[in-house]
Order: sequence, then C-alpha cells, then structure tokens
Amino acid sequence: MAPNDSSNSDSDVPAKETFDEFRSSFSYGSRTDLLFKFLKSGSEQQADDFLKEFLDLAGNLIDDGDTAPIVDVIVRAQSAVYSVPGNFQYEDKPFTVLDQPVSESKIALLTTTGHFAEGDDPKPFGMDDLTQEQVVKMTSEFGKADPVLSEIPITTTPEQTRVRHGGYDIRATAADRNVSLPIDRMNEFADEDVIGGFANPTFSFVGLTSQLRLRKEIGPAWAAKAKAAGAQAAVLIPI
Amino acid sequence: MSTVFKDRTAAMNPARILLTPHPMGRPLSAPFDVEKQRAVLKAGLELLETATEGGTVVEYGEPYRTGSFDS
Repeated sequence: MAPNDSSNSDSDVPAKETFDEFRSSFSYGSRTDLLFKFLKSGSEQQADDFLKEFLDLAGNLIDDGDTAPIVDVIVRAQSAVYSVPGNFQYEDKPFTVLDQPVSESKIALLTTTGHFAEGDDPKPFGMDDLTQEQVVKMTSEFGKADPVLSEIPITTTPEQTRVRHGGYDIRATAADRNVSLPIDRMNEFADEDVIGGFANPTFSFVGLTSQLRLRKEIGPAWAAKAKAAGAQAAVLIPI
Repeated sequence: MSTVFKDRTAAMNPARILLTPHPMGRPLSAPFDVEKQRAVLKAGLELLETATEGGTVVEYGEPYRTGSFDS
C-alpha cells in the first residue's frame, strides 16, 4: 500500500490504494503477474480469501517444504474465477472415430501457446523481436487481430525454440517447452511406436486473438495444413 | 488442458478433452517433469481410441508435481 505521509500538503499526499485497486494491479497493471491476474476477475472476497490462505501456506512452506498445498490453492482460486461458461457455448458435439489405432496414426500437434522457431518470428503487427514485456502491454490489440500460425519443424531444438504470449505466465514453458509444446515427447513416442508418426511441422499461435475469425475462416485453413502434412489426428493444447 | 477452464471448455463441446489439475500455463507438467509429460500425453492420445462421443471430458487424476527435475 502507498504510505500516507501526514506532513505533506493535501496535494502531495499519495492517495491510499484500495484493496480493489491492489488486487486489480496484478492484471496488466502496476504489479502485472500473469499467474495471479485472476485476482482482478473474481470478487474482492475471493481475492481476500485467496491471499489469506496463500500467505498462511507460504509460512508453512518455510518449515515443511511442501509446495503441493500452494499449487492446490492457486488452482482452486483460478478455477473459481475461470471455470465458468464463457462466450462460446455450442450445442453440437462434433466427433470423428479414429479409423486406425494411435500406434498406426500420424499425429499433428497444435498449441495456442505462442511458440515459434528461432529465425521465424511471426512478427505480430509487422513488428520484429517483440519482447514478452511488450506483448503483455498489447493484449487488447492481440484480441482484435488475426492470429498468425507458426510452423515449427519437429527437428527444432529446445535452444532454437522461442515463446511469447501476453495472456499467460510463460515462465514454465520458457524453461521447458514440453510443459505445453511437447515436441520432445512426441518425437520419443514416434521413435517408440506409441504413435504411428509425428506430423511435421508442428503448429503454434497466440490464442489471445480474434476468436470468431479463427473459428470461421482461419481454423479450417490450418486444419488443411495439418492434413497436408499427413496428419490423421491431432493433439490440441490450449493454454 | 488445465482443469482451471473446465466449465468454459466443456461448454464448447469439443470432441475429447483431458483436463489436468495444474495451474494455468502448465497443462502437461512442471518444467522437466518428463515422466508426467509422457503420462499426460499418453492419456490424451488414449482418448483418441477410447472416447465414443463428442463432448467427452476426462479429468486426469494425478496432481501437479513440483521439485527439481533433471533438465
């Protein structure tokens, strides 16, 4: 909270920050932290309850080293805010039976994680080398724009893999792409005949994008690309 | 994907969904938890063979693991 120095004149006194302003600051504000941006989306009481429990568990962590309760309280708090029906609800249930076993099927991988290969920056809005910090400040622009599909050869090494996305905490997948772009695991499965083959390339885009254009126009074209790569089924990983 | 978005995702009725009890941004595992990555991915691939109708939602039972995994 901002200190309130009573020796200052009224015009110099910083306004006291309300709890609502404090919790909101984690979502694209002065304290942006995409792991905790959910604090803004629920009620003040939910944020209050979360912080109380989170700090209590952090105190326990010092002595018992058990991180599981911390993970659990974060998942519960995120679920309370996000696990509600959103703007997109459909009655139909599309379904296709796989014609052959997975072990004989070529599988494509598509993620909404914002990964791309080194030297193949998708250049959103024509801008090269945007940083994670920059795209975090551009979420409203991304939400209105057409998505750009990155094609990542399945031989791309972890060191050649980049990730950039203004909608979620990328720290884990920046450390290890397989957290959300499991290229290495899929290559292993292909080598072990768990799957019949791994469609090359793999695909990724920033899911924070124009959803209607994606569904009606762009998605079908991307599915055609996966089919052209020989895919008989696909693993989709939304972030 | 993470169970955090369970109701929102289920309402879209995709063909098959595997939900993991993980924080947002970590759908398969913590970094370098290769064993968990393989297990989650295999569970998702199994749905290609076992699901019988659209809108099939399966929740992965094992919790998120933290710790120092070999990189």
